[in-house]
Amino acid sequence: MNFSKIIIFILLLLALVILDVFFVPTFIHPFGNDIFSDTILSAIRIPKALTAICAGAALAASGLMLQQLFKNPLAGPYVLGVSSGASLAVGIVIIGGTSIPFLKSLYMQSVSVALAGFMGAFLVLLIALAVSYKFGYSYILLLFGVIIGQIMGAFQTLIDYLAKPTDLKMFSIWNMGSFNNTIGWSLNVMVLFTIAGVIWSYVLMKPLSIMILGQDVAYTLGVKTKSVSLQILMCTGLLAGVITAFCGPIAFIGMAVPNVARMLYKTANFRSLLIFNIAIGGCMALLCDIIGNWTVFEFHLPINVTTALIGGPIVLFILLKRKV
Amino acid sequence: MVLKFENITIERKSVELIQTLSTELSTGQFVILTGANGAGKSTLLKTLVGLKPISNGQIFINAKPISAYDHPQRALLMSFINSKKIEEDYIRVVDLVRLGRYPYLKVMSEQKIESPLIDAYMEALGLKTIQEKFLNEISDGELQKANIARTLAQDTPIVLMDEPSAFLDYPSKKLLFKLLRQLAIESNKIIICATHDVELAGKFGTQFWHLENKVISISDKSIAWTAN
Repeated sequence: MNFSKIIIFILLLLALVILDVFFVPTFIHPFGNDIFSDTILSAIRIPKALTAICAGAALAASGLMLQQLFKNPLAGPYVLGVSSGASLAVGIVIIGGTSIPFLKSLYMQSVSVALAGFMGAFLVLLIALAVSYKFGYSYILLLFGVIIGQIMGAFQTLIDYLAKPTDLKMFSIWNMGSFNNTIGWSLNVMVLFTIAGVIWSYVLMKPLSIMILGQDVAYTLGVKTKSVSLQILMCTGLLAGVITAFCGPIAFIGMAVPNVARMLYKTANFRSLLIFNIAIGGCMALLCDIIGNWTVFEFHLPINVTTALIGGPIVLFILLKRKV
Repeated sequence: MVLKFENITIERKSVELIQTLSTELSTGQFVILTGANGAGKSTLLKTLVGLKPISNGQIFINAKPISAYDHPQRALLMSFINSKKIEEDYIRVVDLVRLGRYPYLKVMSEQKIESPLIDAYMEALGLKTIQEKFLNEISDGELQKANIARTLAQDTPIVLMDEPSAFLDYPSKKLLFKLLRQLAIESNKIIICATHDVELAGKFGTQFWHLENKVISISDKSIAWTAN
């Protein structure tokens, strides 16, 4: 029964939240009653778990939308170039911050990093919208995303090359992704944007499910295909942009989760598919954080290493299992 | 229901494909549209359904120009199918057919619309035994039949079909054309069907449009029909 699968994954999500909050990296007694543990829980552990859930949910939702829109199981926020745009902008702020006087005042404030990430993502999105206006929503747009990613990457390399070693390290660490940098206002902003984006994508799911028939046929069924496609791009940009801004470019979740969800939850009801995606996305992000940071495993890994190590094999498995 | 073409000209990328077509169709007609590849059959159907602009002239449904109907209204008047393959793995056949009821869902807000037509057309096209299968488990021909059932389940007075018999085996093609003729006559529909299965369709059409040299010649008998 499909409905019970959602329940199972929501229960799993809750279990992972408890594990992540009370056990990772070390055990904290939930009813310890000392100020020290309380502070750690409220200032570090709970924001971290909430951030992971938001990131997993937002990236999985945007991956699902892009894969359905482009009818391509490899599409994801990464492929559209959104992440690389954010990355370059943050690179300029972190690395350029020390040498460019104008940016000096902004240097290494989390506000400026987040703002730069969001601006970068949004800028690439605007170019993508311009391209889609001319060429429609075909593979051209994906090709465009990949090429933009390469160009941004080249600029990135150039900036890295010119950077001071300390700045370079700081930027490299940002690039590895983290769920630990959102506290206070930034957590609020992120949760708010994620909820808004998820509600928006929920609304888009019904027309998107008709678009499996192709844009032309969907149009004749009364779907405003152009408006829906445009909204999907904007909603994706919002979700992926805000996550990249606060957590860095998180790889694999956006591409892997929708494929797993589709295989486990075979349905034409895209609204419940979205909820399932969000649950799995949250689970995967939490799991990555737990595996990467739990002292039981005796190693500490940045989030992008774990997403690739867990997400990579999953994507491979799906590709190999797909009917040719 | 009357579908009227008044001096319409159709272009594709500013090359003229059809010159000044004027004709009128009323319910009960099953039009077989033939013509060479690239002649403009698909463009004509796409123009009719609103996917392409009319370069010149007017199309009327019940004496009202089609531009006067808004988008959701048109979905209740005209349905459309092309032979593009649906690339989706984990959707059941019956759920695909259900998508045809989407326009009614919009009209009746969020209520889930079940219609006896979904079952009836799956039955008519021989899909009942595979209705619970996923799209990656069935053949291209079966997928095409499911898509046809989806189009018919939309239950519009005008049905526009662009090579619906693609991927179908001979008995299925025959079954399809027979069903379409029956629907046009008994359920009072106007069906326009572009096809390359000229001989077979010739036995079932009620009107024949042949597109050649930018002109559609209209006849009530096909060549194959008279030969028989």
